[in-house]
Amino acid sequence: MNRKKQNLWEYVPLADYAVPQATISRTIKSGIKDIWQRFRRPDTPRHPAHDLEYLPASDVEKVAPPSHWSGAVRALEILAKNKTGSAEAPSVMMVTGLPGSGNAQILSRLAKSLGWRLIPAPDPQQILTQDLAWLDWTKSAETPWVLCDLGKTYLRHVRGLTLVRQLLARINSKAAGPGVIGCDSWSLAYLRRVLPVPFPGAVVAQAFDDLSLGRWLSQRAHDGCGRQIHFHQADNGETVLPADADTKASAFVNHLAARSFGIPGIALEIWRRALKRKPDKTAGDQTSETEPTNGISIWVEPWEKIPWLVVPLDLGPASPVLMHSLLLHNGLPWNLAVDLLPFSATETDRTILALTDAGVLQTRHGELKISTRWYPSVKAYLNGEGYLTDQF
Amino acid sequence: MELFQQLNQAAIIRGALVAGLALVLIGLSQKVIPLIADRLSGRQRLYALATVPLIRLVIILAALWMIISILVDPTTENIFALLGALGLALGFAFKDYVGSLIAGIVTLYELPYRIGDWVSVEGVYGEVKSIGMRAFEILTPDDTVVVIPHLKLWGEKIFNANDGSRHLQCAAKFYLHPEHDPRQVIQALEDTAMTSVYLQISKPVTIVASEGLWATEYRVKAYPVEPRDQFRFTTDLTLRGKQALMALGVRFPAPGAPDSGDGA
Repeated sequence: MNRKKQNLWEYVPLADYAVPQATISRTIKSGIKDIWQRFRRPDTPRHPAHDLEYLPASDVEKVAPPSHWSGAVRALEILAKNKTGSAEAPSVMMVTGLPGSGNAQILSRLAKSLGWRLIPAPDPQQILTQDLAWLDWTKSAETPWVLCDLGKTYLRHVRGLTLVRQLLARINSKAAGPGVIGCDSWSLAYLRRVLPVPFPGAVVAQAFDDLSLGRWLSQRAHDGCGRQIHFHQADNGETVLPADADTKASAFVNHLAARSFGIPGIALEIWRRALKRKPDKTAGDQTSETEPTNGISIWVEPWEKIPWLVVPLDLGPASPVLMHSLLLHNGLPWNLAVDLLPFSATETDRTILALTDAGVLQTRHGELKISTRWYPSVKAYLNGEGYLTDQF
Repeated sequence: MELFQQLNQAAIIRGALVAGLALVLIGLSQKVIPLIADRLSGRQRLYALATVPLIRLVIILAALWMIISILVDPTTENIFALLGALGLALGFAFKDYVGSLIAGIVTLYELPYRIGDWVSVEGVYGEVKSIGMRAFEILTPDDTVVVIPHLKLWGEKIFNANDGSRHLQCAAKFYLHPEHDPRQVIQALEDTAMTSVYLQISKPVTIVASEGLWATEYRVKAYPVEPRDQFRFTTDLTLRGKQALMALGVRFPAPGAPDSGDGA
């Protein structure tokens, strides 16, 4: 299977990043189809949606397993070697990552595969006490280094910018030697506004358009189950994946690519929640009698039934500020969020709990973050309210 | 000249029905549009709210025209005669009221204030919450509604802090002992503003210094993301700015004590 071996990851300059859009004709078509289905005479669909149930978590793990970002690491390896120069003529490459793109994990794996130094982020206390000792690693400039997230070297606090200022000064003076520095797209948007200094030349993983996303999701299913999986739309049985032709993705995948901004992590999260099966059939283990003989079939919720999550508006003044701060810092530990926000601890705690209950926030690796599947809604909300957002 | 048409029960009922329908429509527009606006994001919310007085005016004019058509034989002479008589009567009896109504119409195209604007009229400062035909209501930061007739438009100065946009400048003031390093102070105050969670970062942060009798005054001027957060923003700038300045060892002279500190 040639498609499987194809590396879908490509790193491009920030200006070349292209967010996929849902085609207008498909948006209109899906709207008309939805209205038509509400009014047409009920008949017997091949696979009525009410006969299906959502895939259990264990099956989702097989059919849509999380990514290990191997393709991204492979694409970056060559780029990093070419762009970072040598100890004599050092250069630092910045790799910008969007929320849900797995940037920090990718860079961590990159450091391991290249045998470069992985620089740990400073402790929040080191940032707030302006402890320049953290920068001592820049003195040994011989070995290239990888710092996974520039966003973890600052805090939005009056004393929280000193370390990142000093770090960028050392990078710009070539004192830090060759290296790769990761930066979340929201942190980068903020730091570029706040720090009037040159930033290293940046690349970003190109967004997955609908075709790439379809191939990537098919690869995930193949990797997870060890064989080809067919995905069909639950209401009409139309093929969702794999695409019938190399030139046209299904309407579902087209919409999915647009809503997720082409970020594979976000698309995967939405995808995982759209998968269904017939009752009492275990995906990956059994084959339905109606399924093609060359693989197994999974049903996909029609796009019209995938909800657009609405950010709760009645959670008080701390709610937008908290969501924005979490995005600018690429997540914060709970106690640090309480310290950074200008609200009483009670108010901040209450807001965190309310947003967590609503599903907007989740705790990952000890940090509060915006839930991956809520990211498109939160970004749209903050943008509408006039907050700074990333450039993508 | 026959001014009024034959007034019979049917004509009166029709007129009353039109007036009633107009009232219902006005009431509906005043309830439904703010409800829809609350579900929209910032800019769209302001645009939606701004349509409320306009829609009301259109409904009132349409209803008036229909009622006049029912009650009066609508020839040019009759309309002029009726308007003249009404104008004379109303001019004497409700001079201020009519002045406010006319000013209310003027506000629709001059737009000296819109819903969501922060205005100051005769020392009363607050957010414009609604604009009626005769008066508009502002809600002060102390949660008091003040009703101000549009008549003020003719004679009073109306200060509009954001003028239909979301950009409302705030200023936090700091009074420092004259002996300090201004570069350090400016950097600390700029960092204070730049790290405020309320800051509209796309707008500039300006720091202005001036020498007073007993202190050097610094004003940090910046814009909050949301105009309603102006007091929280100024508080945040003031408290965190003071902390940052204290960390620098800058002294704050007591008012009226120019030599406080080292006695120099």
